[in-house]
Amino acid sequence: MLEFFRDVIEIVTEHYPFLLRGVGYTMLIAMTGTVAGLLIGLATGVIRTCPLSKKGFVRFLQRVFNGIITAYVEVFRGTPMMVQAMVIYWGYAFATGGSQLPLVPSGILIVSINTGAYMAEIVRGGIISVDKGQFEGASAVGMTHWQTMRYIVLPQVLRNILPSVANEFVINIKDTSVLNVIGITELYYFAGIIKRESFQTFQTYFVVCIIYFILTYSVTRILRLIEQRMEGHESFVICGSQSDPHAEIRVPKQQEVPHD
Amino acid sequence: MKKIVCIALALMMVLGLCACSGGTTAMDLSAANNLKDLSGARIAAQSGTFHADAMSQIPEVKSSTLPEFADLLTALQSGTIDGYIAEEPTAIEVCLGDSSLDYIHLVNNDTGFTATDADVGIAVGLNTGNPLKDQINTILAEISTETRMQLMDQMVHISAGETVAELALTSIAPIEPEGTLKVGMECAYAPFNWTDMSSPSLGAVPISSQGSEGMYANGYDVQIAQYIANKLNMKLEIYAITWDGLLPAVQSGSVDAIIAGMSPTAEREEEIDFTDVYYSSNLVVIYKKK
Repeated sequence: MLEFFRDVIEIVTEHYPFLLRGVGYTMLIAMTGTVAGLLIGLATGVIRTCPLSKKGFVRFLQRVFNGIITAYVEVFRGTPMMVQAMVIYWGYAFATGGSQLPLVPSGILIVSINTGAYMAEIVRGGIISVDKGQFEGASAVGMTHWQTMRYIVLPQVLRNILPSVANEFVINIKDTSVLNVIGITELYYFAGIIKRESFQTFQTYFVVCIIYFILTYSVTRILRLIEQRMEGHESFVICGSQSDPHAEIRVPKQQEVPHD
Repeated sequence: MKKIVCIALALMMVLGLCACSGGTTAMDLSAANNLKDLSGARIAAQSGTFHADAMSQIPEVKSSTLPEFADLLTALQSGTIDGYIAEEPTAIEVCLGDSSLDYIHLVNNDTGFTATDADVGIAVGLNTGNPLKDQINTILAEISTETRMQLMDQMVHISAGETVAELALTSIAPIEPEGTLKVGMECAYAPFNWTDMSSPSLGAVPISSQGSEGMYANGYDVQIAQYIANKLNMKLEIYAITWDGLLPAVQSGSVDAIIAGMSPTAEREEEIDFTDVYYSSNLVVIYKKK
């Protein structure tokens, strides 16, 4: 037992520059991939919920676009990321007669489009969950679809889907480990190299296991803090009332707005 | 009633799972010296290799495969298998590094596995029709059998952490190289090719893959690659690519050659071209001493 921990400490002290580099690439790919995926998700969500135009040609274009998005979501959600990595990376090499995609950007690309497919569904769910009356109200005051989304719906969607986004981020941190199949030097890749050099499989993966947990746990904690920030202040102020235009009414949260 | 049926079904599934893995006992292989002695043993090999095909030559073998070579050693140490198939240089290297291991000194086509040179020899893989093939064959022919043996012996010892004064195979790097020779290998199959972290061993070459800065490749394959590149008046670049990625890499032109301890088997010969064999070794079985 004591020997085991000595081995573990030795692995860390001997290889920490490489472990740190692995952590760096893992976090870079996971973070950029999640953010890009969220943007893809928001874009597809806005497009897919757009009401069909009355003009025939525009409506046709919308239908085509929606079809493409549905196909994208189904294909990338329905195939493993490891397979996507192999297909995209080597597919590109075959298609261009041997030029290799730069490794790290291709890793980010793969994680982004994979996450985007999931995010598209998460965002769609978030938009659907917003009360229908808000859409009706927005169009009643003459807002376009984009304005409704930009000022009314998406701010609420973002807050509502944040736990799911955090979930995706954590999944991405772990799932970047499959990218070692195309040789991206993320954390799991270095685990393989250290294992082969030290012949200590269990000890090496024990170290890597702990590192992954530290990464995911700190990410969930940070995102929980952001979630709490988005909840807003303990109370909010309504400026002006029907009887007094200069009134400031303090309303504690989780309490009905008073009728004045 | 439904609940009881559900529980009974669940129990049966659990029992079924247990039955899948259970029922085998460890075998002591230390007295074995030919394939018949291995009868009934739990043997493993790396998937996608000739080793995995050769396993069926052992009578009544309980065979299993793993995708990564290094994991076979883990399986052996954990006791889930009795032994695994490796090439003799690898076996020597592994046993030097771990005194609790030894290997059965099988000799191909005699006491050991039936295998042709195409099965166990290793050759340089090139994309079909690559004109470099003849040039590389000429260069390989210059290396005597004795030099090959010596070089492999040195690589085994370097890989095991010992130092060697001078390599058996040396060549002068071109002052003005014409083009680069991109070579793909796993960098994970000592003593043929392995990765040096932090400090490069004698003759090691930096790995050119993105994100591999400060990492070096060395091994028998690396020395052969260096020799070929120097003789071709080219600069050598080494790329670390997983075993399954090697064929697509050379077919797509991402790398010019595979020099990765790869045997020119008939199946691979259909996909890519191979040069003459540059090393050939016995297949042996590594086991744990009692």
